[in-house]
Amino acid sequence: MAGRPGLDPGEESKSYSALFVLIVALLLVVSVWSIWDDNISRRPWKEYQVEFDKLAYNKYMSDAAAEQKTLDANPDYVKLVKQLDIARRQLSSGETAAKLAALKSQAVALKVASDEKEQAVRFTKSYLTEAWYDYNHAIQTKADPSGYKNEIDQLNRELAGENKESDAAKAALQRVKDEIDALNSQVDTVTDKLKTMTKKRDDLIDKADGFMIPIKFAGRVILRYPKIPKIQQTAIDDFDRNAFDEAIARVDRCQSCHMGIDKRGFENAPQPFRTHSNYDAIIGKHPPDKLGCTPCHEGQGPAVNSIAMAHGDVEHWEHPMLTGDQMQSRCIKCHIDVGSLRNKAGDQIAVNWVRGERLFQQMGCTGCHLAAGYEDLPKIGPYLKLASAKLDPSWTVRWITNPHLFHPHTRMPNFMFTRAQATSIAAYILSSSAKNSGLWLKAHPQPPTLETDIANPAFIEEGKGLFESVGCKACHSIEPNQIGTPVGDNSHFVPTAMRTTKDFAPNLAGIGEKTNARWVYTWLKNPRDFSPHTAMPSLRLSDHEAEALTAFLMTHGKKKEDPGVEAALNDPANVKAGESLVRKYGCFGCHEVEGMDKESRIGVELTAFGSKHIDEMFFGDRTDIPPTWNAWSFNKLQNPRIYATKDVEQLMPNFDFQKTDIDNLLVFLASRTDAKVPERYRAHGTDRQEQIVDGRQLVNFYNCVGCHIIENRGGYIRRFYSEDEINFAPPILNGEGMKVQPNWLFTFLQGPTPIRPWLKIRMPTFHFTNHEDDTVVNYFTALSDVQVPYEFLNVNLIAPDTLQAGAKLMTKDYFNCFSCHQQGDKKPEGPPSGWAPDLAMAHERLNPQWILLWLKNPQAVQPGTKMPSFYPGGPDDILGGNEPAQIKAIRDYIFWFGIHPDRSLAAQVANVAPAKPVKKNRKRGS
Amino acid sequence: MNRLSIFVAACAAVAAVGISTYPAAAADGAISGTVKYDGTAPAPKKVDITKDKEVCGLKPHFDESLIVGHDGGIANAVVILKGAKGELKPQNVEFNQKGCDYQPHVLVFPAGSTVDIINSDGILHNIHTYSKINPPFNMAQPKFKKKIEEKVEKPEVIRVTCDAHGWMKGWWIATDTPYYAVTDANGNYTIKDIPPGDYTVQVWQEKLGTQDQKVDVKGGATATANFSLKPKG
Repeated sequence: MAGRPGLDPGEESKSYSALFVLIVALLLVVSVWSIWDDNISRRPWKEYQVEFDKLAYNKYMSDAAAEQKTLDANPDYVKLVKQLDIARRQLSSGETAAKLAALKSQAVALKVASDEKEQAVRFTKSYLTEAWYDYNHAIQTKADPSGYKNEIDQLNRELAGENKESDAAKAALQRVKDEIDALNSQVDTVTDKLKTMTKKRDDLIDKADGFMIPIKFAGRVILRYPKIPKIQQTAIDDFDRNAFDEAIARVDRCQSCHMGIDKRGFENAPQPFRTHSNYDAIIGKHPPDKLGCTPCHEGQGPAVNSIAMAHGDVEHWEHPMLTGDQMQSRCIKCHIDVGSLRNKAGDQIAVNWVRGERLFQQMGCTGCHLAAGYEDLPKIGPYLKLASAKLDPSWTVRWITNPHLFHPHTRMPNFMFTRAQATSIAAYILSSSAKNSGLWLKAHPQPPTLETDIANPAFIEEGKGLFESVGCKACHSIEPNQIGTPVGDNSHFVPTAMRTTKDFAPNLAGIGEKTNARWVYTWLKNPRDFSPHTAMPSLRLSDHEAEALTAFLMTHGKKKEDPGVEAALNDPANVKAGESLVRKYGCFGCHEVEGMDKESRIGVELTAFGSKHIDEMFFGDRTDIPPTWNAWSFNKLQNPRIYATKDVEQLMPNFDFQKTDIDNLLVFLASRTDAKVPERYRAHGTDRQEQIVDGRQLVNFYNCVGCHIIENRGGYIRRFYSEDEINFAPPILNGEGMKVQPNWLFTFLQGPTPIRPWLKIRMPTFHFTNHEDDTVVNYFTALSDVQVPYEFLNVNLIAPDTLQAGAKLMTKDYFNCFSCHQQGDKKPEGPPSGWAPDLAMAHERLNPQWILLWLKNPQAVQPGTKMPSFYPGGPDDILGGNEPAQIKAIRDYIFWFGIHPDRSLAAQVANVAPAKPVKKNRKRGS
Repeated sequence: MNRLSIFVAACAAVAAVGISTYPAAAADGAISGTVKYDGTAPAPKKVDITKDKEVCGLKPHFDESLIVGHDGGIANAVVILKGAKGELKPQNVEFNQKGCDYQPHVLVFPAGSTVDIINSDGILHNIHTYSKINPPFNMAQPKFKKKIEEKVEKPEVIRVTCDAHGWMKGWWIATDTPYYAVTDANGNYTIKDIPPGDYTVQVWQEKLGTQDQKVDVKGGATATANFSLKPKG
């Protein structure tokens, strides 16, 4: 309306359509862009899925094609295809075709007729229901029901007739159908046969169809389209706990890109599509649809927007994805006995974790650091409450200053003390132990002959022989720069390198510099007389042997007195300073130190070290070390005081670990987390697994593997035996739990008695407590997973003919067992390298069931053994050639003569003879 | 059939005949020679018989690990044409335990052969193989087990011992080539029926190791390959 005040006619008549179009266009563009962004550019996983669908489709189709080729090469298949073709052609041409067509049209007509009859029956039934209603209604209303009764009767008659007709019509239809089936029967049976034959191919095609969905027309695929991408997600209920300790679910979407991870056949596909490695042990036992991926791999499970996000390589995500060996740190979350986890080939899965754990125990980390599950490990260092009876003062100062200069491989770390500090510590150690040392020396007087004997070359020579043969070399090396038993990885062992493999026991190359002959002699006689908890066993040496060995050892190294040391060590100020240094640096973590029994560990608790957040880690002034758990920990272990600053002191000593050992320790440390996995996700734990874990700790402490191969590891002393004399080496203990009786093993460990008296090497006495002894026995029993108690043998119930057969089989004409086996006091012929244990001991030592396995195939029980196998191929003239019976007879006879060494077999047979026919009858009857 | 297909068929026929006749016509070369010891011949070392003397002690036993005959010839050295292809004809070879010795001390055969292990002594022997490629075994062979048959499937040099009689040491050499020989007491050997060509002849001796030599074998002629082995170390 023109003329209204304030209205501008020019403005009113202006057109905004251009602007409107522009804005609409902009809106359209933005809408398209937002849809595009939301569905495509911010969904990179979709591309992966499309790519994988193509990959999988092509793979299954080419597998199907390959399968088709195999089928084509199979004459049975070709024959069936031909048969089917012929049968089909017969049906579609000539007389049969005409007949079939006629039958089919007949069937259609009959079907109509039959349906009509059926319909009539149904209608009549309805009328009948109506009539019955009327009838009942009439009775209730007191009307006359007879009319209805008649109707009912009439309808029933009709129904009977109709039923008959309907049945006849159905039968007619069935006849025609049967005829059609008969004509088709050949095609059908051949088709069925072909289907079973082509099942593999058809399954592959079905699988392929699942990835590229086919559109079919007239039985042919005319088009395929890829699946619509979808997030693949596993929710693991109640797996985690939030800050309020409430159970929360964990969500993993890893399989949105890693599509082939749980499918076999993509082992060589490019990532992220590759099949999981170690498929049977990992995917087979940890289904990803139940357990997801991040419980083992970590990373940011729900993230799918980029690789870095998904793998957790982003700021503020606390658990980046683990790679390679680091994954082994997660097994302990659900498994008690990680060391026994093995893959299909029987190899240990968590190798690095196991090595790390062993290092953690054997290097004495628990001396300073509390760690749940490792609280009660014994102290690994020498006993210092009697130090002044043992140590040379000058050496002690040098040693404390830097032990690695004296023994590069020692387990003792370098505290980087100044010489003054070392002198103070030595002063405290020596003076605090002086009083008790005096008493100890009084109680252990030096043998009067020792001084002259150790200078006697004959003694030195004899001692050398003992050192070489009696078993010292299982733990100790006497060559400078060599190791006895490696702690940690020795595959990268370089003798002169600064960082090196650690040695389980002291290298003895410089023992004369460190201590004196009197102490060595007394120590060798019984180490526990000096140090009540030492791992060093007693070798039950005679006085003479101990003197000879002392003589030999004392030729290694000479005392070097540093001037002024004596005076400095006696200075009370030094003693006092030493005491506070010992307290500060926690020497009592590994050593028993006078007056320090009640001190607690000085280091940080490591129970949940693996869960430690980067913010809690102190980097000091170091800006060159990446802010990750791994980098911090690696550098800490390589150079423990790396994060010290001017005002923050660090005390941890340097172990000079080599890189591989640090890596393994990190795998173990990363496994110390505070995560509590709910029971239902954990592997079922058993007492036996706990027994194995406990046993391994003991094996680690006492270094049983110095001599023995246990769980396929160790036997380090075997390297000193030539191929011809390997039989003289300590026994391999794989399968020991199955082999020996637990009672025997327990008694043997308490006080070993020789099984092969001709050996120079001795099983030492470890002075195990009952608890330790039980732990070892349970360990072996659990490792072999045997039934305890065994099925024992009552030798008095063995039939005499069995005994006779057993005795005969062992004679010279047959297996000639005593050609190698000792028989009581009677030694076998030939040199001892061919001798074998006294069979009279078997009954109290060996598991009767094990003997059967052993006789059947010794190589299977202990590969490489000199015991030959006698079976298959036992003699035909004993026990009717029945091999199991022969093996049993030998075993029974061995037990019998072991238990009755004084009884003759003839007398035994005469004694029991009357029972013989009864037994035979019973046998015949059964 | 058109002309082209006739031509193709004819070519194929010619080629087939050519391929099938080529090697048969030519395998008539040979290599012979002597394997000698480059050093002073070691004196025969007597072995102590410590067991079953009534059987094993009937004759003296000597260390057989290096036997040097006349003119320095080494016995029991094995000569093969290294890597030479040819049809391996598996056979039954005999390895006899007689007088507590292995006869022969070194047994050579093509892989896939069966070793008939004979016990002629009538006492308990055991046959222990230290093989890594073939499955190792350690079978007792008591008096009543006259013969054990053992198939050796794969090429390997296998040490064989008897644990009951520590001095009994022998070797089985399963070859991957049909062209092999063992030297006689004087170190002589001959390998026959070799197709002409360039070959690497290799000699192996249990104590002295291996040595290679290139040899050109001409049809119908005998090439010579002599070896001289030095003591090891």
